[in-house]
Amino acid sequence: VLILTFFHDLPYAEIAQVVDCPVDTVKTRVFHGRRRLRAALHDCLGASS
Amino acid sequence: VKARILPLDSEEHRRARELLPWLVNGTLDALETAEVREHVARCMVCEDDAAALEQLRDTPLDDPASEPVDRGWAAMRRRLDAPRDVRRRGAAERSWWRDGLRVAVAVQAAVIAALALALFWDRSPAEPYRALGAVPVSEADAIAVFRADATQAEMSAALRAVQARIVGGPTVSGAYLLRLPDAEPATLDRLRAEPGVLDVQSLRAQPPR
Repeated sequence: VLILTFFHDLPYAEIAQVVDCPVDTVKTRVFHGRRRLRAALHDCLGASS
Repeated sequence: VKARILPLDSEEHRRARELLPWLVNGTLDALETAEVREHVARCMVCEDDAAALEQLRDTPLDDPASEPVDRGWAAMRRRLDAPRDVRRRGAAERSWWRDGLRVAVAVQAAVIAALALALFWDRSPAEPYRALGAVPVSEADAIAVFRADATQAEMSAALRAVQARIVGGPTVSGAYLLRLPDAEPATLDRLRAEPGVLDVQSLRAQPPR
């Protein structure tokens, strides 16, 4: 859902169709995905700096 | 300037936070865009969040660093395509099942219809109306009246004497319908002569004299 949102610029309704799940699930997954991505990037940047 | 305090656990903040990714990729409708923009303008947390998302969005996909993302996307596309085939197969199986079910129901309906027809056609021709307890006259050869004081033993003896069998009665006048091995006048006379018998009349047509 992150890739579809940020690199393919799909609206959430369309992502819900693609991954075959409710719109609210897409929103929740993106939210949690962002959090995990932020944590991963932070670790990555922290390690490189 | 009048500041408005927005609690971070408010419904408005939660909703804006959820919709931020699509504000950044520009796919929200006009109403949602206005709503989220208005919130971001007043919420520092969401403002920072939006900036981070824009940075993420601006990351070029063709960057060598994004190669794993491309591979991941290709793998995801394969997975996305696969369920469609499975779904198609599932639909085909369901269709086969539905067709089979339809045939089974049709066969059952045909069998039920055949049984119903057989039931109606197998009925014997309508029998004449017969009241409960009524004995067809054709079964009785004679009608007998026993004496009022006749005992059961006398009645049995009289019947045994001519091998008669009671097939009906007593009638309203106390008479019994009898079946006889033969309804000859001599037989009837023998029955009349029995001590318990008051009268005997043949029910068979008398031959013309």
